[in-house]
Amino acid sequence: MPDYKSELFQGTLDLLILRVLAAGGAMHGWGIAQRIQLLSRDVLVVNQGSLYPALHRLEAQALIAAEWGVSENNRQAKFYELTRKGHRQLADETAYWERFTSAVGLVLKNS
Amino acid sequence: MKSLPHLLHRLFRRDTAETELAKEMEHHLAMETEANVRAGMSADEARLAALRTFGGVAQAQEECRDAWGVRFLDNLRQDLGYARRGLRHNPGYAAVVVLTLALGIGANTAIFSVVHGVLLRPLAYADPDRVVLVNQSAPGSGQASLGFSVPEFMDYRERNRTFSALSEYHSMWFILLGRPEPVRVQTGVVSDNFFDLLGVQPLHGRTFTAGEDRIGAAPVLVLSYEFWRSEFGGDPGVVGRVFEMNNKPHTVVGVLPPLPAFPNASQVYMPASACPFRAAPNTLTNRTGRIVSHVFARLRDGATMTQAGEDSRRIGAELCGEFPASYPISDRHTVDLEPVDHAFTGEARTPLYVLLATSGFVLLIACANVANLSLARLVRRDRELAVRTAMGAGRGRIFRQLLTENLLLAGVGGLAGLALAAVAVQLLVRYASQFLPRAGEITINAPVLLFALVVSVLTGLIFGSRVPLPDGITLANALKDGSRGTGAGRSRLRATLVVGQVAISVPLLVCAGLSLRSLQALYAVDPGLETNRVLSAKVSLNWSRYKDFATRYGYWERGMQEAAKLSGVQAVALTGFEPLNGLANFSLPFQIEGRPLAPGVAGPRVGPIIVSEDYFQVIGQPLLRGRAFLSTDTAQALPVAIINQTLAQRHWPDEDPVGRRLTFDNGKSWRTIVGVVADTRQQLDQAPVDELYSPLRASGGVLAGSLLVRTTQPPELLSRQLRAAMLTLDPQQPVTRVESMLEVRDKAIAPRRLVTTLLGLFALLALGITAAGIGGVLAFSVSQRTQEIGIRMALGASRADVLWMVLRQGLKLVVLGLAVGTLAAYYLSQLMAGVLYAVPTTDPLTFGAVGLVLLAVATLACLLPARRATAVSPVAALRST
Repeated sequence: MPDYKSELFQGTLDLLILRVLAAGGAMHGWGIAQRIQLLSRDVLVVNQGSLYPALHRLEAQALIAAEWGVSENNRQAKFYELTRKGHRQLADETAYWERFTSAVGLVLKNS
Repeated sequence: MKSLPHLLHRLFRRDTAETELAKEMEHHLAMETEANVRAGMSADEARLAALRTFGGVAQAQEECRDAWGVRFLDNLRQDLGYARRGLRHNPGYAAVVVLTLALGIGANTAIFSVVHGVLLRPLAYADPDRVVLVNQSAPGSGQASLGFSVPEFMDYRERNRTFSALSEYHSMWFILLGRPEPVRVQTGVVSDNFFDLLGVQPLHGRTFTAGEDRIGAAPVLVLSYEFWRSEFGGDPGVVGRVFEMNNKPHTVVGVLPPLPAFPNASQVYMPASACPFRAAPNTLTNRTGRIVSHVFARLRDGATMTQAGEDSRRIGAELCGEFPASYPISDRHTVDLEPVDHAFTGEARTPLYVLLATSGFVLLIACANVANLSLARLVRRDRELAVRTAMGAGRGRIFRQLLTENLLLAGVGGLAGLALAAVAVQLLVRYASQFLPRAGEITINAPVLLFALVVSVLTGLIFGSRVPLPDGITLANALKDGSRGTGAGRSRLRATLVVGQVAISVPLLVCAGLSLRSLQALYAVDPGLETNRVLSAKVSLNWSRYKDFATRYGYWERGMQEAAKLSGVQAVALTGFEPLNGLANFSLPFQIEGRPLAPGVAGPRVGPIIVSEDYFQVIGQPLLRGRAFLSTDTAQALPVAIINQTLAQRHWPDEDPVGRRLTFDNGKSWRTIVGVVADTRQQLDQAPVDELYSPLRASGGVLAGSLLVRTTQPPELLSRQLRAAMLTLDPQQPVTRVESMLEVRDKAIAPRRLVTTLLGLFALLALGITAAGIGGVLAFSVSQRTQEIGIRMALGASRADVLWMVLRQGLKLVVLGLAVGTLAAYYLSQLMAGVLYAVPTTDPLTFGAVGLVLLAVATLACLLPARRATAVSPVAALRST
C-alpha cells in the first residue's frame, strides 16, 4: 500500500505548505522545506520530489502565487505567497484536520 | 480547478516555464549544497548529498508538468509523432488502411450528400411543413389524379376554413420570342399569391402582386433562377424587358432564387390570366375542365393537418351534393392532403435509403478489415509495447497512443474519401438530375462535411477500440526469443470479425443481385415495338401560330416529306403520344354500341392516341386483325378507330371487335373499329394499358407530337440532319429533342440502372474487402502456426492434409457467416420490395448465386495462404524456433 501512504502525506504536505506560508510571508521552496523540518523538530523531512510538484499544483489551483526575486544569498529564486483563496483553503483544511485528528485520537484512546 | 490564465500561460510559454522549472530546482540544490558546506562537507560531497536528498530531478520535473495540466496536449503531440513515425516505417499497412477507409468513407459521403440534398435539407420555402398539396381523386374513374377545374379551385378557395392561402398551378410549354432564336419555355401558370404562399422572396424585381391573375390584367413573367442564368447570363437588367409570348407582350417583373424543380422544372412563371387556355371563357366555367394540376395551400395558424383534411373533404362532399352531374357517384370522389416535401421525393426515397444503408454496411466491412490488419500489426508490435510498459507507460497511455494512430489513419482516409466523394457527387448529380427534382441541391456542404468528419472519427474509434491490449504480457515474456505472445482472445476476435464481414456481405450481394435481376427483367421486357431503327423528333407547336388543323397538319405533313427525303429513311410517321414515355394522364369516357350504362355507373375510359397512317409500320406494332389507317380516313369519311389487344380483350373477349362501334359523345357520332394491333408499353415496368388510336387526318391536328423515322442505318447518324430538316420548315419553331427509341427506352431505365450500378459497386467492394479479410486472417494464422505445421508434416501429414486443414479453418468461418448473412438478407431484402420489378425479394436464384459466389471467392482467398502452408519445410520450421 505505498500509494496510500504517499497520498495521505501529499494532502498533509499541502496543508503544511499553506500554514508555513501563512505564517512567514513569501518564501522559496528550499526555505519552506527547511521551515517545516525546523518546526517539526526534524520529524518531518520533506521529500523535494514531492515538494515542488505540490507547490506547482497549489499554484495551478491559485491557492498560492509565485514571483521571482532574489534570495538571502543573492540568488534568483521563486518566492511563493498565499493568495486570498489560499487563506480560505487553509482555514477549511485546518478545521478539517483538527476534526480528523481529534476523531482519530478519540478512537485510539477509547478503544 | 486550474485557472484558465494559468493554463494558457503554461501552454503558450512552455519554454519559459521549462527554464523556470529548471532554475527553481537548481536554486534548491544550490541552497542545499551551501547548507551542507556550512555543515562541514567538501564542495563535491555537498553537491552529491544535495542531489541524493532531492531524489530524481527528472521525475520531480515531470510531476510538476503534470500539475500544469498541459500534459494531455503534450501527449497528443507525442502520440501523433509516434504514429507518424510508426506509419512511415510501415507504408504498406498505412496505404492499405487509408485506401480501404477512403473507399468506405467516400462512398458514404457521396450517398449522404445525395440523401441530404434530396431528402433531408429543408425546402427553400418558408415553414415548408405548413405547405400542403390538395389532391382531388376519383378512384372509380380509373384516373390516377384528377386535378382541379377553375370553378372547383375557386370553391375550395372560398369555402375552406383551415387554409390561409390557396394557389393553383399547372405547367405548359409556350414559345418565347424576342431572343435570337425562339425559345420553348416550360411555363408554370399560378395564382398571383403563389410565391407569397410558399414564402419565396425574389432575387431581383418582384413576384406577382394581388390582382395580376384577374382576367384582362397585363401579362407579366417571373423567371426561374436557372433560366435566368442560362438564357440571360444572370443579368439583373432583364427585369423590365418585354418578350412576346402567345401573341402578347409579356413584361419580366422579377427573378426567382433557386427553387426545387417541383412540380415541374418551370423556366418561367405567369399569372393564371396570362395563360390563354386557362383564361378561355369555357375553362372558367366548365366544372369538369380540370386544367389545374396542383393546388398548393398553406395551413392557417393553429389549424392542424387533420382539421384541414376534414375541412377539404367537407367541401368535396358539398360540391358532390350540389353538382351531381359533375361528380358521378361511381367515380367515388375524394379529397386528401399531402405534405409538400413528401410529394417531392415519393419514389426516390426507398432506393436512396437502401443505398445509404448499403454504403454504411460497406464501411462496416472496411472497418472490420482494418481492425484485423491493425490486430495483426499489434501482434508484431508486442515487444515494442512491452518495452514501453516496462519503461513506465501506463496501459491507458498505450491505449491512447494506439487510438491516436488509428484516428490519424481514419483522418487521412476521411480526407481521401472526401476527395473521392467530390468526384462521385459530380457524376451522380449529372445523372440523377434526370429523375430527382432536387438534384440541383446536391452539393458537398457543411452538413456533408460534418457527416464525413463524424464518420471518419467513428471509423477510427470503431476499428481502434476493439483492439485488446497485450494482455498481461511481461517484458520477460515478450522479449523471449520466438515468443508467440498472443492469447487465444485475439484470434477469436479475428475470427469473429471475418464471420461478421461475410455475414454483412451477404445482404449486400443479395440486394445488388435482386436489383440486377430486376434490371435484367426490365431489359427483357418486350415493349412491343422496334427500338433499334427508329428515330424520334419531338415538337410542341407554338399554338398561337398553329391554330387550326390545316396549319398543324401542314407542318407535320411537310415535316414527314422532308424527313422521307433523308438518305436511309424507310418510312415516316407521326404520333401525338410517344410510347415508353410514361402512362398517359388523359382519358375520355366512352360507350360501346349496344351496351347501355346503368345510371350512376362510370363507363370505360381511354385516351385516344392520334397517329398517321404509317405509324404502326414505322414503330413495328403488328396489326392483328382488320386494317391499318388509310389516307382516306379523313374527317369527312366514316369515323374509325384501331384498338390494342388489351382493350379488345377487355370488352370483346370472345368476339371480333372489328366492325363494332363506340362513341365518345353520348352517341352523337359513332366510331367504327377497323383494326386491332398488338400491345405496346407506355411505361416499361407497367403492363400494357387500354389504347385506342385515332387517324391523324380525321383529328383536330396534333399540337405536341413526335415525328418517327424508320431508318436502315443506326438512327443516331441521322439525328442532326433530321433536326436541321425540321428547322427549315419553320425557323421559329424549336425542336424539343431528337433521339432514338433506344435512347427513350434507356432513359426510362436510367434510375434503376443507376441504383443497380451503385448497389453492384458497393457489393463488389464488400466482396473484395471481405475476401482480402479472409485471406489476411488465414495468412496470419499460417505464419503463426509454421512450427505446428512443420511438426505435423514431420509426423507424416501430407501436403493435401495441410491444405485441407487450413482451408477448413477458413471455410468454417465463411459458412458460419454465410448462414447468419442469409438469414439477415432474408429480412433485409424485404425493404427492397418497393423498388424491385418482377423479382420476389426471396428470389432463390439470387440467394443461391450469392451463396455460390461468396463461397467461390472465399475459397480462392483461403487457397492462397493454404498453399503457402503446404510449402512449409518441416526442417526449416522446426529449426527456426
